[in-house]
Amino acid sequence: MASAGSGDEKAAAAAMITLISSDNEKFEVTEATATLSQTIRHMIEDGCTDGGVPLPNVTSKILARVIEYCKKHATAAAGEEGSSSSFSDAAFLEVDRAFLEELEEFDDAFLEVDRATLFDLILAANYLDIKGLLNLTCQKVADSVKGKTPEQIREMYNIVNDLTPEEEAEIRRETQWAFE
Amino acid sequence: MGSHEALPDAILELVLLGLDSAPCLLRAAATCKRWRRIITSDAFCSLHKTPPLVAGFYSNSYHKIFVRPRFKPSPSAAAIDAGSFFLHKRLPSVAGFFSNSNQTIFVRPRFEPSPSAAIDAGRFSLDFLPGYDATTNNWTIKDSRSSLLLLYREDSQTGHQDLFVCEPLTRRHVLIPPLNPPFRLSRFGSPAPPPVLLDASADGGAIVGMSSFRVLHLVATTDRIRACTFTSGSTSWRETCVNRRYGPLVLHFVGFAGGRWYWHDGEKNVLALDESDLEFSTSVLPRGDGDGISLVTLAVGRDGEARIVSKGYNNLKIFARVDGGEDYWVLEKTMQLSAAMLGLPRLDDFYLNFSRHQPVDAGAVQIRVLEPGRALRFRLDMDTMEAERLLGPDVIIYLDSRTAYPSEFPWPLSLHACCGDDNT
Repeated sequence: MASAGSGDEKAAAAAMITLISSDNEKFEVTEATATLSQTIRHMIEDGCTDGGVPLPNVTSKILARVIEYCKKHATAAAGEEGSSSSFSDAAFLEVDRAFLEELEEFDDAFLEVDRATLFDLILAANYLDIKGLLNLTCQKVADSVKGKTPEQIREMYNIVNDLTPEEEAEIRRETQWAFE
Repeated sequence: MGSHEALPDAILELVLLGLDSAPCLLRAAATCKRWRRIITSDAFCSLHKTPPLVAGFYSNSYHKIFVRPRFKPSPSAAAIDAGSFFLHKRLPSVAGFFSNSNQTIFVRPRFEPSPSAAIDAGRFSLDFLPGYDATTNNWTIKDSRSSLLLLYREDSQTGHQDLFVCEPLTRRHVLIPPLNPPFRLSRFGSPAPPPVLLDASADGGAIVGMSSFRVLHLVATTDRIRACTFTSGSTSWRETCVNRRYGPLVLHFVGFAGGRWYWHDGEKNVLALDESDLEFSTSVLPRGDGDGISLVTLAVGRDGEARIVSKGYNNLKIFARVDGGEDYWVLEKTMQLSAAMLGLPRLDDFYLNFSRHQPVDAGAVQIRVLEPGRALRFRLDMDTMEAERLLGPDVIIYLDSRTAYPSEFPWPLSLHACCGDDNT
């Protein structure tokens, strides 16, 4: 997927968009995949994607992952639309459920990355305005904080404790119940 | 890399909004200044405030215990103490009377945690209250607000009554000074409106906590109604009163909206109390086509003003207040309800959702439809008449047909330093 012109048979028919990472690597994706990003959708609408879309804030490593996410979710969205006409309701629901389960499994596996990559994905999702990916990655960070003590959180995210001992004592005094 | 500094505030805020319980938020707020600043910001509070702070629900739980005959000495036999009566069998006159004591049921609050609360429910025990374990004491919750509970203690032997305000998680309590004449509440719920817990100030700016709350208690007698308020930190109640000009003794508290509390007498009379100056006003609902207005609740229109909503047979009548020389209400709209409108196969009956505090949802009324095993909640738009099914837990839910009092995690004052001033 990393080089231009490597699209599948479907892509040949669909409009293709070229995304250019900060380290100048080109990625060719379908419009359906690219428009999961509101930022790119607006650029397409404004007709300024000829010659590729430069994304100076996103490295090729991260952009590859983001495209992987968008491809999967674009397929899922297309699958939902396409299948409704060709299946009975019950069969459709069954397919729908299977799709969602598969998507969830994909998301879980997708998030199995180190923290630095997770943060880069958050920043890319924010810059490209991909709501689903932003929520997914932010929730992953939130989940990692749940049930942790302030000390554990600081250690996980390299946070320097800049609260004065008085401020810390004040919070703790009033919220002893939350720290036990 | 991997440091939280890589994330701008707006994104860190999004991350922290993913924390769905107050204990987790408080621990996150104690990590560093930046996280504390974001968690305590107005924007964050308004986005995050309501659901995760509800720790669970208290309800009054009634326990049966044995009926035991009780002995009450007659006044003339006052010299004999009740315990030694059996040693003095031969006393000539009647020393007193046995009766079945009314100590057949005693009341204790019960706590059910929210699924997302992530805290040991045992921390919500009220055993720190004075005399909590004495079986002669009945403890009834009369109201809850934020992290505070308003409790009523009644000694079933002496009849002595007290009001307490407490905060279960921090195990603090305050005894509210007695009223004169005494409260005359009931552990079983009474026709008199129960006292309510309020914000400390009329503008609603201050956060409710052990050092900032008010208790409002309405005392109705045959000729007048007294509004008594007690403010935290003071030593006595403040009173205003109004002469009764109508008959029924019953007053149902219907809610608070637009700076006023409202009570309804089950017929056409509405009593309002202004929050800022505690002045009473009375008003009347129009008499419709013969059907009485018995079940009402309060809503807030998009204009911020109060609406009285009455329940009829598969319809809702919405009354708006007209401010003139004489205070009265006019029928603003009748909403016909149908099963189709709610997306249900059938609609036999519905219930008004009742809130003891300010309805937050301007322009809408909430109703509940009971189906076997479940209660469905709907939000009805008062303007468009559109119905929307609401998911998630009820703010006021009914456990075993009794009121459930939501209890929130106390949000520490040290974290209020830069938040909460413009929550209204």
